[in-house]
Amino acid sequence: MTGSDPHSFIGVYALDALDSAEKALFEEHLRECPTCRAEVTELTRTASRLAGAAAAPAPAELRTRVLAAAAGIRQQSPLPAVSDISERTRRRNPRWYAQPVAAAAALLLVVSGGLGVLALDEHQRAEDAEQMATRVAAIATHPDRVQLDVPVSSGGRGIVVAADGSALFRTSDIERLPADRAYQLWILRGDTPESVGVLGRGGQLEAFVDGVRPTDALGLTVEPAEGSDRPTGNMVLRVELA
Amino acid sequence: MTVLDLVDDRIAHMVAPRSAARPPGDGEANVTVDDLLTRVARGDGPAFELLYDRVANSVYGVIRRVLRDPAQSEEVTQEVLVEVWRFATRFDAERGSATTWIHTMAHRRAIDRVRSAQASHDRDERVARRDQVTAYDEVAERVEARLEQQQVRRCLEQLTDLQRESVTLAYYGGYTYREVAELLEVPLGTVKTRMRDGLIRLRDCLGVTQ
Repeated sequence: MTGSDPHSFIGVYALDALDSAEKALFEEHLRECPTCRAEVTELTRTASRLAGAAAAPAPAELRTRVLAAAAGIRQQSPLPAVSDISERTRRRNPRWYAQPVAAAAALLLVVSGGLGVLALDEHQRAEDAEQMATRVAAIATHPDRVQLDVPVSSGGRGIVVAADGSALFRTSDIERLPADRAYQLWILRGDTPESVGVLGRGGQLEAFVDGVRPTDALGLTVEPAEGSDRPTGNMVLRVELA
Repeated sequence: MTVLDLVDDRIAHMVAPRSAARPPGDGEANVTVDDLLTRVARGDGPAFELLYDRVANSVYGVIRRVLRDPAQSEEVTQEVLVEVWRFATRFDAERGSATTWIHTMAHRRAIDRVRSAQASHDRDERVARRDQVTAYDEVAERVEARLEQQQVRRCLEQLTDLQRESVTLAYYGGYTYREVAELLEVPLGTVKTRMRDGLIRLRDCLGVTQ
């Protein structure tokens, strides 16, 4: 997309015909361009008529299934309840049509399985905990969040949920390293990886990562136990946030 | 209270749909999808049933058009409609209509599915589908759906061939604009422009306003 006029992508965007990296770039542009947003709204409405024209009888048993599923699922709290995080967050998210959120199961996995360390840190002050909870909830429920699930090369999975410049990272139970080694997480941006921190020797690792961009990747490497300034060991996981 | 509880507390807004019988139809036929979604946002189960009846066919239809496979389409339709229930609270009527919000979710979800399938396999199958994309082969059950279909078809016919193919390959075929450019053997810039001016012409023909 670089080098071309973002306006020319409005039609492509309204038809959902950009790939994910280009879409992220275009959405960056949309945040600063009210005229574009107005046109996007109109053309999205127009494209939505194409959906209406494709109507076909939904299978009868689907109704029962959907209603039963909905009956067992909590509704999300409206955004303002979550977003005392900051006004900025909401302003940066001008799109009213939420990206459909990925499976509830993935979300629950992150929220309920993924916060063991955070939840059990008894030294954490109550306000910090409050603040962290609010931020985690904001990411986990963000309508435009990206959820990624990628394999760890030595076995297991890594899950990332990212939205609005922050990311939650966790792994499934991954291979345990010898006492002199540890897993270290990095923000990979251009040629200068930035350390997020040493996460541990194995098991379920997790981290809350701030200051990420949609064009970044996260990488998990095996380093000496005290950590490294730059990745030196094997990169067992790499995940692009776009 | 752990952070986990706090998170749960932030996220939770525990409202299960009430299992009351559907209210008698009096006046309900005139209720707009916007009204229904607003009621759904307050946890109104019966309103969700009515909403389902109003949007399920178009949601299923567009997903089916993109995915082709009936079983997958059903699965994705279910996911989308359950998300309409979950995220009804996030709908902002001042920014657009409920129908557009729901259709946009449905289309994006179908696209996500087709692209992830494409990443793993059956790209050839997708290319082979190209010729099916513009066929209007679905049976519209409701009269209003049939009228909508006729109007959209009439307006699509007013586009140039290149505009129409660009728009329908992207929207119904789930192709990226790069793929559309390859399929139609035209430069990327041309496809971008045709998508935009095609939609603009469609907008004017359909009388879509803000």
